Amino acid sequence: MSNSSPSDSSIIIAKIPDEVLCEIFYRIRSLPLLLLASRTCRHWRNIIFNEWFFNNYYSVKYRGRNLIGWWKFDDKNHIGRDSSGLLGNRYTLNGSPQIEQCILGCNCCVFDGHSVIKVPVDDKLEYQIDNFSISLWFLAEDDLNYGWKVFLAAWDEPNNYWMHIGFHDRSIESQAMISPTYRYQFNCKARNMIIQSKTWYHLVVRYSRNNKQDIWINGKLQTQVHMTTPNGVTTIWNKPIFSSSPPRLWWSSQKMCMPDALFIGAKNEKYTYSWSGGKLADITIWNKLLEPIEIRAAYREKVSIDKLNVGTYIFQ
Amino acid sequence: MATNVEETYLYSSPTTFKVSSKDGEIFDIDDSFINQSKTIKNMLNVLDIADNHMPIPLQNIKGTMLNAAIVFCKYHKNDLLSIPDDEDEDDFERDAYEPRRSDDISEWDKEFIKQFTVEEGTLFDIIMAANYLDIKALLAVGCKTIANMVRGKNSDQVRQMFNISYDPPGEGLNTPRNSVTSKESGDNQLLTTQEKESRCKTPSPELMYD
Repeated sequence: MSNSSPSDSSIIIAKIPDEVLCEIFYRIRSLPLLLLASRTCRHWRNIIFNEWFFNNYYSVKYRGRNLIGWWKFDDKNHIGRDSSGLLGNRYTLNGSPQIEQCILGCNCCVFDGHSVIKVPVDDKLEYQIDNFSISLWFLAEDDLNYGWKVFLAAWDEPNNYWMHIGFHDRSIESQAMISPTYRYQFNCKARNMIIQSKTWYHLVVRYSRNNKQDIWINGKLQTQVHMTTPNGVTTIWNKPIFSSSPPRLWWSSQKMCMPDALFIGAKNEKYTYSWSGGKLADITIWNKLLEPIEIRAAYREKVSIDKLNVGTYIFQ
Repeated sequence: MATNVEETYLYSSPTTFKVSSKDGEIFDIDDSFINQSKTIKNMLNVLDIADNHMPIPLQNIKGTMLNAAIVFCKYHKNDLLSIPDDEDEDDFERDAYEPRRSDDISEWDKEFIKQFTVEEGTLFDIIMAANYLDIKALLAVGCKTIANMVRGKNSDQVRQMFNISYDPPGEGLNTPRNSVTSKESGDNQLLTTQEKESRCKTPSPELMYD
């Protein structure tokens, strides 16, 4: 293209139509970087700061690359189907979980205590990550007073440790594991929020190896555990030998454990910590930390993620 | 490949056509181009083009851009075989046009897009050509390239890079009261060209809202 001169009839960015500028702006992630770009000129601000733009910016269509798992239970013949486009029908189903409609206007999966969906991810690089979020809706029909009832887990021997989410004595608890060799287990429990049965809740858990693990229930941050140092560790499975606490450099080089398979509705195929009458809906896994505004919008709008309008939430 | 994808558009043979650019250059296009350009595909479906010797005029596109688009489509001719023709515009799986992961661009696409520059305006030319021809993969590569250039730069740097006029702070959309959550923000109108030009000379400190 070197034969065209700058003074040629070449198009300058000011002549780019707004719909094409939108296509550019949709690809500027994350939100802070978009906000930075919006300060360029008032034309750009005008395009970006409106309900329509933000509805699209946060739509699944433009965030498809961040969505690595999505169980919306919309196909009774393929209950464990992942709708993100990444895993599809790669799953095995144990037991007979049922499908029914829920408050989101979509389906939920009802577990009977003897059901679990297993999704192998050991060969999926998209899942070998240590910065991710999980979002889901849940309801419990039965007594929640005792023990664990698992929503979603990659948390079993021999090497399937990534995360573990469920009830633990009426509270929501999440776990993550750092260092496959030494296994530093970080628990994060939302003790201040007592979960009632027969009520739908929106849950988001965010994991960041180099930052923290936190739990959001119904759009509010409930608790967080920092994982930047080993000080907040709950349990060390194989304690390394140090004269004092681990050196910072050693700690920073320890990776998070990675998953072999995900289990939905129980901890493993043996139905450990499964739950009878438990309902799960719109389970999503993201290879990014969901932004607080997305989390709040998802709770307030009470719809599945493909119908979520973050822009409407912001502007109205 | 032709036999596989021939059924994806309605028109019958021939499967090669001629197109002419706005500067009079004539190019042959085949299935690889037709299947990726929704505009051309629609043209061929709507128009009764029996004579493939008469070039289809594409008055909005320069020859250099049209040629580049043809090269791009030839390289990506096998990418779209799995994408249904009757895709739903609102279907999120439409994003399959884009690489599955990250904002990165494939190595070939990176090399391809390097020939276009902001300075010469050719990067915008190719984006506009992709938009006009409705070649989603090419549009995505162009938009990602621009997005990557913008990402992380402050507004001064972006304005300088794209030669964008500066809007002074404290007026219009830049006033604090017209914040993200303000319903009124959508009511602000753009400045007139005259106003824009008069404000181009204003120095540009980073005092804009936020």
